[in-house]
Amino acid sequence: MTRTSQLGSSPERSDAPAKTSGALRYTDDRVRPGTLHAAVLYSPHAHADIGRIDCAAALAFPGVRGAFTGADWPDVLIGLYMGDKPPLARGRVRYYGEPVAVVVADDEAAALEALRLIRADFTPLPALGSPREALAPGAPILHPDLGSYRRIAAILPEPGSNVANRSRIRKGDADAALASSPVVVEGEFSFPPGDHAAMEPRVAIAEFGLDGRLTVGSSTQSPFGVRTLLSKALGLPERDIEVIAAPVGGGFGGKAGIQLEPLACLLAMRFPGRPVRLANTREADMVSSPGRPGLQSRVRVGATREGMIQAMDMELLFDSGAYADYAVNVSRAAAVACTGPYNVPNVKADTLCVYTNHPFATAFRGFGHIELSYATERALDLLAARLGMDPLELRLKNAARPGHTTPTGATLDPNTGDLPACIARVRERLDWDAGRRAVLPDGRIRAKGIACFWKAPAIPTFTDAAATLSFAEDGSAVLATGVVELGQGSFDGLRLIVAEALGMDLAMVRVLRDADTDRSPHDWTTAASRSLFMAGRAALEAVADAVAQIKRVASAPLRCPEEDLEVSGGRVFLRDDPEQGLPLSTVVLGYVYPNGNAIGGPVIGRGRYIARGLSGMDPDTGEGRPGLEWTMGAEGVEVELDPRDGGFRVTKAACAMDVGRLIHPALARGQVVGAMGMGIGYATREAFVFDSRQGVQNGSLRDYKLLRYGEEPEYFADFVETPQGDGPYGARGLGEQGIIGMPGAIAQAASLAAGVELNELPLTPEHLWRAMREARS
Amino acid sequence: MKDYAGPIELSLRINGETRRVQARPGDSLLRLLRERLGLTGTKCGCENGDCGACTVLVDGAPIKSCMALAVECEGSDILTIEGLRGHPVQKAFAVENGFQCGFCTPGMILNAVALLSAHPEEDEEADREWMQSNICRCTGYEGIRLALASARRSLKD
Amino acid sequence: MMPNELRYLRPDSAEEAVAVWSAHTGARYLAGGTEIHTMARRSASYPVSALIDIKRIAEASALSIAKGRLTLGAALPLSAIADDGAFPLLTATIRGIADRTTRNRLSIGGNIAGMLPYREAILPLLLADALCLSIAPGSGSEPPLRREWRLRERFDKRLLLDPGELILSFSLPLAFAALPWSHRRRTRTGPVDYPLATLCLVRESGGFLLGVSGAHPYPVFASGADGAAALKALGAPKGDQRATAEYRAALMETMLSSALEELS
Repeated sequence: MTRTSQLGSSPERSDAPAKTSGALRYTDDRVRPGTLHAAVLYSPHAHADIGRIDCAAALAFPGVRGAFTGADWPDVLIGLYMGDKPPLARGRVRYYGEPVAVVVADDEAAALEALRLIRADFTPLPALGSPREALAPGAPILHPDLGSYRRIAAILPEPGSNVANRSRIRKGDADAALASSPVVVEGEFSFPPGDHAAMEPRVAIAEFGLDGRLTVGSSTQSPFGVRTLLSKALGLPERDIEVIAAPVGGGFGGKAGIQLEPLACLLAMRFPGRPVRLANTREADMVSSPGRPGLQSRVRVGATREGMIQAMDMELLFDSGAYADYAVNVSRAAAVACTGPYNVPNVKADTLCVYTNHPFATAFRGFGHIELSYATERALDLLAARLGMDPLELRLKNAARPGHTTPTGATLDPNTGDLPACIARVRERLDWDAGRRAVLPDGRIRAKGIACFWKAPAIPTFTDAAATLSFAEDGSAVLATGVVELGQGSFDGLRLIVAEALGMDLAMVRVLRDADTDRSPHDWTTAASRSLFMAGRAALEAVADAVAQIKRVASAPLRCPEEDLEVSGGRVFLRDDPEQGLPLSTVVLGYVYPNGNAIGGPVIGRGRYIARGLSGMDPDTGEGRPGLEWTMGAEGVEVELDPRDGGFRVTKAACAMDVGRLIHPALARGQVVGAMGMGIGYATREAFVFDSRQGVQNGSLRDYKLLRYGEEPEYFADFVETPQGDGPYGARGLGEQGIIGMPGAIAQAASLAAGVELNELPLTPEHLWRAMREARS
Repeated sequence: MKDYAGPIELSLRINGETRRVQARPGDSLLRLLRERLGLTGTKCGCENGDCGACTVLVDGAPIKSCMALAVECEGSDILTIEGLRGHPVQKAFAVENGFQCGFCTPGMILNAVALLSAHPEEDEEADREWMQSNICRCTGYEGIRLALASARRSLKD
Repeated sequence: MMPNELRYLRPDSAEEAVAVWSAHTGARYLAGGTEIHTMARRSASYPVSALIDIKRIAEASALSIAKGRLTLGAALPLSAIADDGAFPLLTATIRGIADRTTRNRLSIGGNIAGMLPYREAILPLLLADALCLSIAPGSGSEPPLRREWRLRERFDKRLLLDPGELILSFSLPLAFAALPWSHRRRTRTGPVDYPLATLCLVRESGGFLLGVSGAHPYPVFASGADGAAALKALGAPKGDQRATAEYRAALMETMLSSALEELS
């Protein structure tokens, strides 16, 4: 009874019927009758003292049940790694869009109408518009209480300044190596903050039950994280909180932290027995809820005349906005990987998370790597130009390989992906050797660019996953994990892994859709591209456990030792005489003998996984092993530029990534292609535009432009398979990585086309036109 | 002349059925579908006419239901994703991975259904004109492009 | 969603519409509603107490060709006009506005008489010296006043309408639609965005007619013996969050030269 493997095939997604028929219910599709609706008043100032807030007229509006301000919860502070944010602003607002007051009413229309009756007075304060401004002597200190905030040990704030975290890398002797390097280049590279713009705006629906338990439905990537943080913020034990994560309409890191849930819960606790719905408008989702960080950076690279990199000295300043949220760890993750996937023997890096008066930043696809990659790749482009070397050759020459060490001094083990093979694939796809720059007959210029990337999950050392496998009467298997479906397709990867391990038809395996902290096994967070790896490992253990139980039960009626049995094809049978066996449907809920006697009972497989061998970082040198598995790859683009007006488009985008083992090729391609598309938006248009007082001028989809149909390039996605020894069937994470190299590759190509180094994003036509004009004069 | 004020009862033809429903004159078609009729397949992505997640067909034409009042649709045929059962476009989106998170998908599919009925032959310019009305944040549009091509093929067969 | 208490009125005739307008303070005419919905959400200073839906007034929703003139009902959605295609420059201009499914609602009258500064659809009509048929409430006990007027005569930065005046239709000579034309449109980045500049160029016997939207605070048009003269007559462009004035100026020059090239 041999079966062909289903791994590497691309069956239709299991959620396709639900998602194409409108049947899938996201969090906001689950509003019960009797629900109260909250509407929030947002700060019109980026930095201001709050004067009087008068809610009397709002409270008198028909249907209104309550109106609240920061003063209603004078002691509550929320944070992910550091508790620095009140649920509603207290005393002062620190960003444009910060929640200031909230109205709760029987219906949303009443809440919105009443909101317009609140009178709030503000006294504007000078607003900090960049990390460098915030670090300048005499800059206003945005968090005078920084020293007293509750935080985890890995985060290193500097009280008395606007530094929310500083991570240091000191590997070798960068100063000496730079001094002795025959070629040294230096550059500054920057871009403003922006937004995730997932299509589903964030929503939380909380109910404080009359039984004293708190239930929260939330569009979250992290139901267990939210439960823990709610427990801390509200003083309720975890056992009295249930967080339910329905499938999420796009996360991209933006829903990985704790966001609307605390305010929704605080409101629900004022109205026991009635659910309270707190739903973002699109504008609030973009500006009031967190976005992605901005960056200011400076990089120096020293190399030999042959182009071997000797040292890097870098400063990465992350614009965290008003609150630290995930950005403190984003800056830390950037330190871990700061050089990009290159062998750099001497590294000196300071990566800082800096408070400003911008909307606050959280995790974003790539988690610090898109930022560090843009800085290092641009610096390598300067180096290549100085050396007169092809930028691809420079990268190939310095590509990180097994045996090399990372910036934190961890040795790259034999599981490390094959970066040179990835570079070779991109070289081929873009026909790199046919020339990097050409002027077309109509005057437009075509140019190519390449960048490399690596990323390891930036996760706690004890990051976990778990799975249970149970069965239905028909012998079909049901996998439960705490993973949240965001569109990434982890469920289908897990389903293939379970089907493969059980030797079962895919149609006979289901993965439970909602993650629910009361029912699902514990799982750290659906982030860091680690679900397939970690939950996949847990699922494999659950299958093994279930198979052992099936064999134990079946061994009695089949009258044989357990070790002679095999499970496959929906049966348990004798390995050496496959005709003798039982269908799983007669075993998985217990076996019943003809006389009615029963044995066994329902089979429940149990599987667990916890990150292996991770350690923290030395606060002075960064030394340690904080990264689990490294996914590496190369990306390249071809662009076309009209030099007359800066008109610019990406015509080809290629990514080659070493994924260990392809589990579901179509979904893997979807992740890579989607990430490249998002990266094109990131590099060419997506950024907040601030006015002189740091108000956001483009905080809506009318003005904040995302890629549309027909603007996408021709995509190439290739996979190299160097097995990850400890990954499920050799697989490693791949969800985020495709975005990381895009800004660098696009900036390189655009710079080549324009004939001037472009060191700031976004690369809008006007930006290009201006740079070309300045270069000419 | 119609004159509606205060709470009203509307009679609307939705997915082939006549539905009587309580409404306010200010209720958008989107809110009415989701909040009063439980037709939550129509998604609210921006409520500002920018994203297309709320697209439904009114008398065959794709419109953004956040930008229309429910009362304006009296006498019209409204088709939401729930009324589109087993359409080749739905199948094509499933097979070609024309979705990931699925939030833009109902609006995207309904727009594509109308597009393919107006332009049964391959027409890149029409595809672009129509499909630029809907934002997808996940796919980079590759799967959607493939789904359109595949649906066109199967509609011809 | 309009959260406030709202009255919805749907008259069957133009006369009824203006009478209803007079009877309801704070009423607005509703055709596509795309701008009304956006404004109502965003701005507390945009009170709407009543909406008068004009889409079922036959003469405001008709598209006809008679006696050598094309007549376009003001409540017609932009898509209907573009798909009809009788005036190719208008079709091209309309296809730049918003996006297809929005244009399935957005009316030509709304685009031209709305609050946003772009009003791109007015450009081809201004160049064509189109006529506009409107109806306004009569003063006191006077009956409503219908009149037909040249669009150019009551356009100064925006359309100068009297209180309660409702545009019913536009008309233009078909012969104009047959003149050589060119259209260019540029945005800050993607296709679905307000224009940095939209340029409509028509060549007639005496020279060129040029209309531009997006580059100035309001639509502008001019004529000239050559394109450069017309462009100069339009005056200096504006700068805003989408683009600086100098970029717009440079853009308009390249757009004009490529448009002229197309017409040569």
